[in-house]
Amino acid sequence: MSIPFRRWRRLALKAGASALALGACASLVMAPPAHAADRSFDAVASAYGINNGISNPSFPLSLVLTGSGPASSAHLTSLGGSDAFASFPYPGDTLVGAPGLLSGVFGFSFPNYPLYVATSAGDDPRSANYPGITLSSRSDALVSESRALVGTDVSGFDSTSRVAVDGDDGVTSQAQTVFKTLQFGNVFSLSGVQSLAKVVADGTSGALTRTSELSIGAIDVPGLRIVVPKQTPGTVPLPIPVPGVGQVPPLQFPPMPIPDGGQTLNAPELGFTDGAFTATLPGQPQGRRYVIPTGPVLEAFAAHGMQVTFQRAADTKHGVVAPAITFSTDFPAPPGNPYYNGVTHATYTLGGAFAEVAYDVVNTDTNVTTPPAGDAPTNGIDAAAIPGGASAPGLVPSTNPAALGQVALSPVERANFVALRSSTADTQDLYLVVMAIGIAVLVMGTVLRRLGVLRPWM
Amino acid sequence: MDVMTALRTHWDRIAAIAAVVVGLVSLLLGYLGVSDTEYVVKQIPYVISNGLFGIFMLGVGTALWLSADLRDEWRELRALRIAVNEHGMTVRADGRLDAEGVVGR
Repeated sequence: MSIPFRRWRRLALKAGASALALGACASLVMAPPAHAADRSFDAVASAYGINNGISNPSFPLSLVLTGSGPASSAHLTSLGGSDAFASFPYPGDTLVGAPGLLSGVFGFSFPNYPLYVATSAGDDPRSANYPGITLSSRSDALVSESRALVGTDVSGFDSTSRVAVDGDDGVTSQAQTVFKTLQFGNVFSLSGVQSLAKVVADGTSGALTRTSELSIGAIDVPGLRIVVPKQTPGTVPLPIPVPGVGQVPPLQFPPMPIPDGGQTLNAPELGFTDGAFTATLPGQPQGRRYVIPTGPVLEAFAAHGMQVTFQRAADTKHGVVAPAITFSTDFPAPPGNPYYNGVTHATYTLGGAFAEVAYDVVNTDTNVTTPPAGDAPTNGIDAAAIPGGASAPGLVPSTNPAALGQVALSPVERANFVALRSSTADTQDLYLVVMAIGIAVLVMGTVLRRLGVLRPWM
Repeated sequence: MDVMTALRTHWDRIAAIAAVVVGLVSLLLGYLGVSDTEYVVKQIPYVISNGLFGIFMLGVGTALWLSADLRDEWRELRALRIAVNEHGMTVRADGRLDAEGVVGR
């Protein structure tokens, strides 16, 4: 019996040694390539629908009441962070978080703000349905999205935010607000309003592709009359979007006659696309729109006590803020009373959807972070770098970008992101440790066998 | 010894080799999965599934192999005891041989 056992032992020893060698060789062969690159991202998409602001001298501390909605936001990181929320009306983070804060202070259980749905990583998708309001939120490992819908898909308005990891390991962040119809008292109405901000980070190079849009399908202003100019302007000012660079002389063009120029358009079918009003002209094919002078339109709005300003799209370091249009008006002072006096100023800002993907490609050889190609050398939202600082020809006057209610990564979030990424062990290295533990189990077993079992019989 | 006898006799060693091979393959597949993506959220499942399972299978293989060696020793001891008994001696609890009128080895 002993001779076959020894033969088996030798055979098994060879098999075990081969397996060990195979594991060791595989570990060497499968080691990370010399030029491997690590990728990290932190992406945000936010759509706040319409931002309202109301101020009145009677308000204490000159308080400006603000609100927005339908609001949606999504946030996703490469470290597993995922959260999203949807709300309408959205009173702001302070009021939404107030019940939790008060509960902690007073020990009572205050009810949460009901028109708010939020999820974080690990949560099941949530939704809430109220009469005319549908809120939903989902936060998975590779997708974070939320939607706030008011009314129906056909006639209502909604905000959608979505951040997702693409098939090529790139990241897409998209925020969108759509208003089917929007009535501002009896002054005017808008329909087919769409605000879009989208950023796509390429999975290989990390290069960002930004897309933004603000379009209004139809603007209905009672009593609007527009006179079509007879000829094109002879000079066009050239906007310089670079801060600190002086204005160059306007471009000179020979005036050209405009077809049907000089006629008056009564209640034309107006539209708006990225800063320019458009209209269909009589006698021209249906569906074809022409850019019309801004002045008469603004005058028509002003005749109804409405001021219009426009903010062009602004590229941030890692994303884009979509264009926004702001309507502001003053409501007359109420009759004298001890509580509420003076003119009430109200603003309504449409658009301003925000999308950002902070996508870094780290060369593991040098551990140096290479900014993706095409990124602007700015940090955060730089108002001075926004091209709309000086209004371009034919565009509505620009506003202060701070009025858009845009949401970027806070400094704390950025700091956490950087700290977490720099201190996180590379999972590939962690897995090599796991493999080493496996090999060590085999080696220790073999040593134990030779010293504890075989040696006494030698 | 034919193949079937060898399989029946050395099932523990064969199982040990199979467990080690499965463990190593699991570790390699896990490494391929981990190195295929840069996102931690995608890598963690490989670490847990393939990595820990691979280590477990390697442990099982090692234990089976040690068990097989111990079984060999027990067989040797049993053969020795039978041989001693055939010579009219017995093995006492303290390991000494107990023959007729003779105590000690």
